[in-house]
Amino acid sequence: MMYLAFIKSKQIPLAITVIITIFMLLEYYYPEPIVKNISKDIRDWSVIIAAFALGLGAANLLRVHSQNIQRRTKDIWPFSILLIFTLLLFFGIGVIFGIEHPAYNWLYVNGYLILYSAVFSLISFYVITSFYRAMSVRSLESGLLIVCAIFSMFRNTPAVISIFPYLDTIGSWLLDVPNAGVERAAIITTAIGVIAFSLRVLLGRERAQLGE
Amino acid sequence: MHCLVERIAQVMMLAIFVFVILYKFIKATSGAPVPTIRALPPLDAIKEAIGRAVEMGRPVHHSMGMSQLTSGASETLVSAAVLEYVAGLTANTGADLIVTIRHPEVLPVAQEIVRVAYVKAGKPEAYKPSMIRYLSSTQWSYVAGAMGIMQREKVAANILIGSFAAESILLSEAGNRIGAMQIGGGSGFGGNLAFLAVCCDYCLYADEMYAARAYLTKDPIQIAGISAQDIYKLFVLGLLIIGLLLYRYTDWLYKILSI
Repeated sequence: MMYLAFIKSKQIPLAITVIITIFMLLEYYYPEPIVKNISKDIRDWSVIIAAFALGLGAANLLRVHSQNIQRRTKDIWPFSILLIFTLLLFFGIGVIFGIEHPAYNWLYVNGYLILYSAVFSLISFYVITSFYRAMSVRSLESGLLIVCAIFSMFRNTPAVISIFPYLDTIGSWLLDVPNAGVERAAIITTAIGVIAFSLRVLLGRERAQLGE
Repeated sequence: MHCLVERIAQVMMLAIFVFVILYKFIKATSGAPVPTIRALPPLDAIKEAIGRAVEMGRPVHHSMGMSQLTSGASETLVSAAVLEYVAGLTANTGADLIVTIRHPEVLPVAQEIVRVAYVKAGKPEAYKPSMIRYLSSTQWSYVAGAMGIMQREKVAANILIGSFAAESILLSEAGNRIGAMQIGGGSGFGGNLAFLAVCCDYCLYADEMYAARAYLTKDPIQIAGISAQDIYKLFVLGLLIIGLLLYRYTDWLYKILSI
């Protein structure tokens, strides 16, 4: 019973996290072949485990969308049928004929890639339009950001710059002085935050990922 | 030789940081008073957002961000820490929770966090595995899926804390369209901060993200870690000023030394 309790405890994943973090740090500061090889093995293992997780993802998709179909969830269930059908189709053809087979390739190029490109192109326009729509002045900071964005846009508009050349100087100054300064400060403080966070993980004080 | 000196300097800097953190941890463990963290309105607003969702009878959406556990893990882990708090609140208040996942390896982590939060709240029966939804490993497919969920299920609160790039504006715009209260947060490395700053009602900036769990749990040892981080920041600032002065006055210094 005691052994079972130990196996189920959070100490094992915590120990794995700490050991792996130590090796990753060691590889950076002490890049000897033995350390490098161990670190490489650990990275390979992480890739393998992540690949196994794809199965979990597929199982989750099947579970959520089967429930939608079973419950006839309003406006969703027909799409759930399509999703499961597509999932099984790709999986079936991939397993039976292999992913190099022309049938799989045809489905990928004429199905997935076209849809992906269509969504991507829609999104590219949406980024611009939604940016204008969402840019309402809600605070002093967002107001300042919008003013800077306007100067930055003017700076990149040759027609405006040819009429008001000083706007280019203002835009460049905003970009090179306050923007660069703030960006560097943010990078330094965030980097320190990341290091402190990693050290807390290494010392076993950060355990949210273990469900504690 | 130059590389070796650089490495030694890096190890020394890390050793100083480890020393400060360990010192603060030991002090906090011995019961010494820890400093208070300044108010972080985005984290305070989570309670308000979930309360609003309960009143409206609409779900809460939490995105775990776009990074994996194998790279960009720190932001995913911060999102996990916030999810722990959000799940605790939804379990206690009875709000519906939807967590969307981009990378499948994040799925079991999110499932465990939400399940434990519901068990801790004494409502294990309210936990449903379908609360956590893996959408796609592809960036734009995930965004399309998350936007669809937000708009179809009319979420009342949209929590976007983690690693986001251009998709942050699409997710927050989808939230704006349905009138969701939005809380964002990013470290800034993904170029998402400007988008989140203008689109969300509240936003965690840069290193504020990494103080999230300490702030939410009020754990003295976690707060001691944040305090150590601030001391180290002052140390780095001091080094920057010394470096700047040396750079500016090197010629002058050489002249004096040569005399």
